[in-house]
Amino acid sequence: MSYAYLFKYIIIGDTGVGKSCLLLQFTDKRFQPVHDLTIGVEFGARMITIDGKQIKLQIWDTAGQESFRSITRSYYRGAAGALLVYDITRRDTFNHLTTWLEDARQHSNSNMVIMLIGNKSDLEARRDVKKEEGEAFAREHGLIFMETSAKTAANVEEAFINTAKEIYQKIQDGVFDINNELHEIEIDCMLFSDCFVNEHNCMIVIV
Amino acid sequence: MSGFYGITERREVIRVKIKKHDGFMQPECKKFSLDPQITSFEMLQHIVASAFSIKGDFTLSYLARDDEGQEIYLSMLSDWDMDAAFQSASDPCLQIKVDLKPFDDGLDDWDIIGPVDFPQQRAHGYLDGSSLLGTLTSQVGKTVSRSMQKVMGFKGEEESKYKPSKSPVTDLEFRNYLDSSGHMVKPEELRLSIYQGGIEASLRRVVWRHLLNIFPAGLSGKERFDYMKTKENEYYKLRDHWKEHFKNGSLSEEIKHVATLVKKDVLRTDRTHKFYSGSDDNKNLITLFHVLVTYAVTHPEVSYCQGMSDVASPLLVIQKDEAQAYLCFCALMNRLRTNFLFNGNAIETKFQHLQDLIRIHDPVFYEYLKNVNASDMFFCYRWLLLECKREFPFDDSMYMLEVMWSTLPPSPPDLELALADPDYRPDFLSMPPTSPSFTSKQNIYAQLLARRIHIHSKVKDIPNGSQNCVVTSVNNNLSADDNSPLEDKMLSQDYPSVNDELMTKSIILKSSSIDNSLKETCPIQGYKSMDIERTYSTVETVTEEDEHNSRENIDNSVVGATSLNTENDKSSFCVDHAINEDFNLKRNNEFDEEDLKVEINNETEDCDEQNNSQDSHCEDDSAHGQSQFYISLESSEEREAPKPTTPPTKGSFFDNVKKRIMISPLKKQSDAVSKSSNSKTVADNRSNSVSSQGSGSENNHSKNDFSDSRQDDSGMNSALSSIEVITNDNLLELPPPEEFGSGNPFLMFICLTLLLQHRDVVIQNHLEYDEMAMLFDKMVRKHDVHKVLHQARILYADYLQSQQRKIQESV
Repeated sequence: MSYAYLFKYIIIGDTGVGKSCLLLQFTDKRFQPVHDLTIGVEFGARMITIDGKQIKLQIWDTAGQESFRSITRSYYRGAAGALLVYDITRRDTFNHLTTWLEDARQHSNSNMVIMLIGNKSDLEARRDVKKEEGEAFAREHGLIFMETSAKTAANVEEAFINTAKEIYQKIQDGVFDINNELHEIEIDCMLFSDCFVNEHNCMIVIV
Repeated sequence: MSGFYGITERREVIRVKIKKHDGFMQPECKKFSLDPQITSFEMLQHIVASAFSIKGDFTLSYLARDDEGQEIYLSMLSDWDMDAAFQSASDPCLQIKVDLKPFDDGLDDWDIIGPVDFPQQRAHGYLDGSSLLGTLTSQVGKTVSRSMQKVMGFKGEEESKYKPSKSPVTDLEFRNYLDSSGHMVKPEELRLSIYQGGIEASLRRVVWRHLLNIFPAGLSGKERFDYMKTKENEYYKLRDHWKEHFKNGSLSEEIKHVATLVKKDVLRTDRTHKFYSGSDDNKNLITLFHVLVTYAVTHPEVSYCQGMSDVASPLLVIQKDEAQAYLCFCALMNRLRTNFLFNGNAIETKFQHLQDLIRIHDPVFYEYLKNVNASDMFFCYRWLLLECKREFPFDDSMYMLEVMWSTLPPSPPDLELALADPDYRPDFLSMPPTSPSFTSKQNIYAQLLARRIHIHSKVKDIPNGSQNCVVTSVNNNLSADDNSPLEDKMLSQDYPSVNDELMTKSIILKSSSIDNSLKETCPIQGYKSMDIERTYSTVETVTEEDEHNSRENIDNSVVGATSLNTENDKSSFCVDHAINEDFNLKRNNEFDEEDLKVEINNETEDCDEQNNSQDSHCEDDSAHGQSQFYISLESSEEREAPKPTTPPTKGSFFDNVKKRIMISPLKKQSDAVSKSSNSKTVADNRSNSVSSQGSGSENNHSKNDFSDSRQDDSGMNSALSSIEVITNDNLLELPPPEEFGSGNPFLMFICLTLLLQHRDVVIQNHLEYDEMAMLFDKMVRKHDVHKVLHQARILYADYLQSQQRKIQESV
């Protein structure tokens, strides 16, 4: 299947916040309550359409805890979007967001679009982090924000697609200084660079 | 049988060309290879009959040269004739003529490789004249050939094709590796046997302890029993120490944090296995939690890192006892801890070595990986970190693990197995005292955790104080971090060792409410393993272990304030019972145990003689006996040689292992079923490496490459022809086994096999990095353990051969 754009996403956040479940819900439209804890990184992919264009999302679902840092750094390479996930029923996962954010900013493309996600919104009764707090954090750090439930699928689709729209918009606006970025990451990340290779000012094309 | 002793040139592979003459029909030719050590005339007849689908009678004759150098056909009527043919007329290949009696039917044009086809071909060209191979081979050969005959008949079924040639080590067999007082006297043979066929499920519990090096060298059965008892008590002290701190509310933040992490992971570890399935109250989860937290607490340098629960889980499943699982875990982590260290050096080395290996074995695929930016092999991270534990169905993983462990040098602890790092101090556990002198120690944890769990080092950044810095009550501490009371349960409950019933019955769902479970506890010191006696006696009784009941005592010191949240938490972890398909126990029933017993007993007598003189040195997995073992196998004279007085180096273990492992595929080949595809696979790999070295004939590559994972039966011709191109020179580039794979060379070959078995799919479909990674992710717990190990053994043997050659050349 051909597509016009390939966006690489990375999902990050504390262990147990539901990163893998979000991915599974988005790619397979199902919820699996018991699954293996992620070691390293797992992948998902899905095609979406924005503005009439086929976009392939290639999603890297990372482990919440990783001892091997150089592998973690590799995950960020070429990522156009990041989903930074916390669990609304566990404040500690919210408290750690700043560290995750620093990590992401340090290792990624400066134009990477970051979507903050408060997951497990179905567990309203156990809510530990108010929605307003998430919104405030997002505002403060320039992120997009949504609350989702990987279990009920609420907002999951939107979270992934809105991130893509944002990336797409950045490309249209020329905010993504694609060619410059490209040179920085070309060697390291073919995936991202491929996105950019063939078109004049924006990403393109693989079959 | 052949197996002449003292032949100067001992052939391991006899290539055979058979021409069938049948009246007026065009003669039909087949080519295959035989292992002269284990091939009987009867088997040869069987092979011929099967290869040509001969139903009726036939006669065999072989091409020889008479004194004048004229070619003549001599009839082959017996083992004796066959041996003569092997010796005098098999260079470069033995030509046999088959003459049919009038009636036969089918002339199916199919290529069948005999039961003893393939690794001989591989081994060909590496013969060093050592009689070691033959000696051991003939010992096991009898066994194998008998078991093989049962499987003969060329079923060719996919599932039996790769079954190990040897049946798993049984209770009976295991006893033959011990002397009358229970000293492990033949650790090498034990390992060899495990390498070839694994361990019977019921015996794993006992044998794994040996394999994992929990016993110091030289213990008798009784001493092992006492040792286990002591160590178990030591474990419970360590565990109860932190649990007491927990109950007092004096546990430091760092350790509480570790406990939270562990808890989250335990709830997601092998939950589809019946041992851990069911509700989150499953006692085994709590046991696993205890093991991991105790380890993290007592090993501050390692602490806890994701993946360790996967490593520990099988140990508990097999040991079924918390303390014993802990001992095994400590011993295993002695080797694996570097995988989990923050610096990542070990993992980095493994990535590098895997990369080298794939480059050498399959340059085409390596190029492909490079093109999709995957040549860093990062997509194999889980394989390396967990040593492929998750790549096979759980029960198959047990088999894979023991086979892998059996390739590793024994490294018994010097005096005893350390259950805690030397830098562990119990006072680390408690809250940071005000005294500055303690703070520095406390910081060890803090620093380590800060590095390991990088995000948690930023507690100071946390906006408001939900992360309590001062503990006022146990429950507040935990509930601040996590709303599930499970942790409280885990911390407050002691469970006795898991009984067998839990293993065999389907899950026991704990019905007790959280409130009850919160009240349930054991006295801190109250738990003693009741399995201890059986530690000693398991050899006889492994299969009938008693269950014992949990002793649950009330402990009021912990009261859950968080029970309200429990149901939600549980619901998010409810087990999907549907996912059980992976857990089918694979069994070999075809092996004749009686035969084995006979073989083993014969061996035992020999070896006991030599071992009696060095009781205190040759026990268990000491490397000692090992070298002696192999020396003694090399010639009958050396059998009487005095024992070495200094333990051999690690390198010499591998030398021995090399010999041992190189032999083993020879036995595997005697697997009765057609192996054509396998030999082809290896042949292909080999031709890859050869051509890569030379002109890089890509076309040739891809032709070969694509055939390898298809595993078709295209026959022996390609396999045979590939013999000519085996040089394996490229393998010489690889580091020696002591270094390769950062201490686990065999793992590299398992990983290589996983890659090779899917490389065609990857290449043909032009999979991108992510797609390829997804393909392998989908294969989690789905790889065929027999198929993988079969090929891995062959690849590993290749490697060891080349390493041995390297050593020989350098000498």
